[in-house]
Amino acid sequence: MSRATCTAAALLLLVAIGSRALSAQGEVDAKRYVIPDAPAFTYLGAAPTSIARPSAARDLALAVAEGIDSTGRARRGLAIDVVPWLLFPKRVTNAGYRTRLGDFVYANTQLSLGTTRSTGDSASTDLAIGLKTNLANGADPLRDAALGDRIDAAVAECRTTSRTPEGRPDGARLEDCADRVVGDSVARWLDEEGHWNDVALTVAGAFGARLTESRIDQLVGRGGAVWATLALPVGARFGQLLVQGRGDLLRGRRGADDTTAFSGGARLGVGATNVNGFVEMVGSWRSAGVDRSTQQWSAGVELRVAEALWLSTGFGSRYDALTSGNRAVLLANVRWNTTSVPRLVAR
Amino acid sequence: MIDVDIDEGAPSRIDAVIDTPLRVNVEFLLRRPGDERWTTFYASRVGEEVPNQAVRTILDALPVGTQLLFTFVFSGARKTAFRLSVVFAQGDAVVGEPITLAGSTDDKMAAYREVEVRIV
Repeated sequence: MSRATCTAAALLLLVAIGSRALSAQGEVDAKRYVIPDAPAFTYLGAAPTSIARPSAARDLALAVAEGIDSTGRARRGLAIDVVPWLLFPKRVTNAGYRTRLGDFVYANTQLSLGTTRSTGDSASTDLAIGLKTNLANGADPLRDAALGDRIDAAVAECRTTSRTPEGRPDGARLEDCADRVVGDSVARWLDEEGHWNDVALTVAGAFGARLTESRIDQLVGRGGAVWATLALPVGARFGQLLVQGRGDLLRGRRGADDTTAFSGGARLGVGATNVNGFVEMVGSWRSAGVDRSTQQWSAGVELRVAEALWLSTGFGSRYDALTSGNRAVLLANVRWNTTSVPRLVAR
Repeated sequence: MIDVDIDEGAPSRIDAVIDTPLRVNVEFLLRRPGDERWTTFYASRVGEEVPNQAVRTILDALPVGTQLLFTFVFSGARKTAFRLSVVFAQGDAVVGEPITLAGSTDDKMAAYREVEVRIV
């Protein structure tokens, strides 16, 4: 029996002997500490429906100018998400990305900028600028030269089979073919060659400010937030330890104390073709207010009983949040959730 | 389709510069007036064969009405950006404006882009 199966079986045994959900000391919003795609929007609590994604410096300048009205006041709803390297002439190549850390970080850096109406002050506007980048990612397929060669060969094959009668590439067919074969190659590289749990480190930060009366010359710093996610392999292919955290600093108003807060979690996931499971602990702490410190934990196991049919069960205060929406059945006094895809594996 | 006004009696140099961490498969084709089929005049796997991702090709004199097709398959990861430029030159002089294009693989593992040019 493999180590993954043993671990999953141990988890299952814990459930089967009658575990019950442990009472939480408070609720931890796990979404708070997951690194966002656009830190500025997350910091503001905004979900913009229209996001400008300029790919040239001139387009960025125009997008920023759109956020300022003719009287020099900031407009709400500005949302810009930009890949900075597109704005500069410095070259980005696959060879550099694979071999130079500086190029890797440069190519993975994202900048976001957003504005929204200030809470409790309808005349003012909150502004945030966010930055996100990867410092390491062994599970990035673009960093593996051998995989790149296989991808090249697969795409070249698509070229030969995706032609119009006039010998011109059939763009839609070629793109679909390349998407499929490259997806398959990368999936095999991750799963069968064991790269899914390689070391990865992603960091992000956001700085927030309030524009009093929405005037861009009346900018007052409000604080900021930082995020970090570290993924570490457990064994060559056995599992992954995922540690995530977020720290916040909120500047106090009119001489009041600043508030600091931290939330985070650690999750150990083990995965195999037919069985996987996890153990997770999350917590939060803040320097002021009630319920200043909270912790929760959960564990679960999932079994594939047939093609496209997974049974999962678990316990702990956060387990329900992970499995809500699934069909559930009771077997041997244990609640089992059924899904067509694995849900619990950490990846 | 983009029109490029060149001297049809002189050879042309075409420089394509591609910036992206993605793998890139490049094929350039042309179709002379009266031809039914497209002919490939340059093809490479850029990441492997052209590590600096800068492709230079020289074409003999091209008659007016010739169509050129620059095609690119970017692949290897989702949500990854790319940009490219194609510049025509004759002798030491650049002809016309650089043709630029930028994009992302978005939610796919590959993206296809093409630039079609007509010699006028």
